Amino acid sequence: MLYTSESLEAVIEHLSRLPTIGRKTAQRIALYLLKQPREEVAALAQALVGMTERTHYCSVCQNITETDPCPICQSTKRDRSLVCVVEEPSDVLAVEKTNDYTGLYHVLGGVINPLEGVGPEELKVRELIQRVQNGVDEVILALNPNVEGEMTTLYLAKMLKPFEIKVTRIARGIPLGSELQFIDEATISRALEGRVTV
Amino acid sequence: MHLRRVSFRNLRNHAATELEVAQGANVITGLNGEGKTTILEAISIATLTRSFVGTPDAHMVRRGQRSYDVRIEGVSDYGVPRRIEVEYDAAAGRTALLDGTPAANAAQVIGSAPTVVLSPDMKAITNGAPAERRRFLDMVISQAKRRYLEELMQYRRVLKQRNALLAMARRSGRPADRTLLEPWDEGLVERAAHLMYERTIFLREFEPIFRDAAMRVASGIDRADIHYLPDAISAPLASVADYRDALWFRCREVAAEESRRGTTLFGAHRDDLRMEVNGGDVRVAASQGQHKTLLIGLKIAEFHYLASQCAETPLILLDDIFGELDPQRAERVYELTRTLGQTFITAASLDILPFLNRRGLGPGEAQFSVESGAISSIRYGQIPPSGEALRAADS
Ligand SMILES: [Zn+2]
Repeated sequence: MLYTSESLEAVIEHLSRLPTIGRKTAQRIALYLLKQPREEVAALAQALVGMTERTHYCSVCQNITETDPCPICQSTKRDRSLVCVVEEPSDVLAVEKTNDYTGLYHVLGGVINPLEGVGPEELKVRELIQRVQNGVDEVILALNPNVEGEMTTLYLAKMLKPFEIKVTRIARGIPLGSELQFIDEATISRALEGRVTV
Repeated sequence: MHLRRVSFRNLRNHAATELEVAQGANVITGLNGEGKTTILEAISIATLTRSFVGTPDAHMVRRGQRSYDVRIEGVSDYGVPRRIEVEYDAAAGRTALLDGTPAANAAQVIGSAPTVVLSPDMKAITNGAPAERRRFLDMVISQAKRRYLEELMQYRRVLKQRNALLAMARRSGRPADRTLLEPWDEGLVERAAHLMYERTIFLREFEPIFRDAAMRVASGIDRADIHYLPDAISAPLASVADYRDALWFRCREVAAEESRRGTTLFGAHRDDLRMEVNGGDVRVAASQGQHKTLLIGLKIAEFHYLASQCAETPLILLDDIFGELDPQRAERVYELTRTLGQTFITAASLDILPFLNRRGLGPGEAQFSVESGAISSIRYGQIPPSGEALRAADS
């Protein structure tokens, strides 16, 4: 059903283009916004515009930032010889939360996915190579443990090989705090394969 | 494992069906289209994550509904109550609960209640295309080894991506970029080597079991064999490393042809099995009757293999197979499977199992009639003492 208001229709149309939001949900959001005070809606609109005007990609690590370089890349407390490669800005947050990592990041912007037409050119691979050329001691590949993440890890490892730097990948195995008896065999079997000397 | 109760809603033409099942043989009768097979499909959805008929979930939902749910309750061989619940919703997809705990993926459910299925479509295993035999192979090993199922799912994903890459290169008219293709080569080879090695081990253990089972149910067969035919390798190899080497060799061998055709031309998705009777290929050497009995032998062997590998006695689902057997053989297969484990059997009518009419239902047997998506009658044989004891222990 189409609404008789063209401006309402326009909002629904825009909202329904957002990920995970169908037309029904878009209608509900639009009608909700319609009932809100004018200032509230104006603040939302301003926040949206402000976000797109002020944020951009950090020219060093490709993370989303308002300053260039981003605060992490600017920090003098970070180890600049260490670069952790992740898929998305949200992964930077996840690693930062550990408070254990003091190096820099590189946000790829996804993983290689031929089925969706994503190759190295669609990702920030060239930028990573450039950083390595400018002097980095170690690259940690911290991509998601699925098929595409693993293949991208292999690809990057091959691309970085000529630079003769240390290239590592995060370990996959048994989550800490879980008892062995409750872990499925497949995970245990992979953890055994990836065992390390103590 | 044996089941106590099977219940489901909005599955095919069933609105809400619930049955207390017998510990031994459960015979479900009904005419075609009334919904008798749906009871077996419900069990299969719970234990194997999908119907053995191969109908997509969206088409399993009863007309006018958006979701179905299935629940099976049973008791493990060690006397522990087990429960599997599956819910499918057109929008939210499928979720499964194993004893009340959400299962992360299919691999967590498959194998927890091992299940052997024999349905009319499975004739293709002995006389159809290689894909049918691979499906058989994957289903058995996946239930016995969780790691196998995970590797298999990853293998399929890698294969799909690698094919996409090769097809893209073909369209562009240039050979695929080697550095871009290499990770997918490695991903494919690694997983194929693992799958092929597991298949080798499986066949080594399975062959004697199959030979024995086939001889017991089939007539006019002096010898039955089953062999693993790994893709482009003349004989099964002894280790994962050997398979890895052979696969890398093959990978380089077909590289040019792969760019020309734009698709993967080697790997575990091209394997096959060779079944033989009296030393000849089953596809030419076996009579129609022998095909049927060999298939039953294969499924009985699958039961024995799973029983030895899993911690649970498998469930047995026999969909519409007795109509094609002569009465003596039908009785033999019925009695044999009944002594192995809990069976769920569909038949158009009890006339197909005349011995049951003659001797009546015994302890641990039940018979259900299904009409237009509902149970229309239930008969139980007497409850055996062991069943009584179990019930008493429960309460
Ligand atoms: Zn930065």
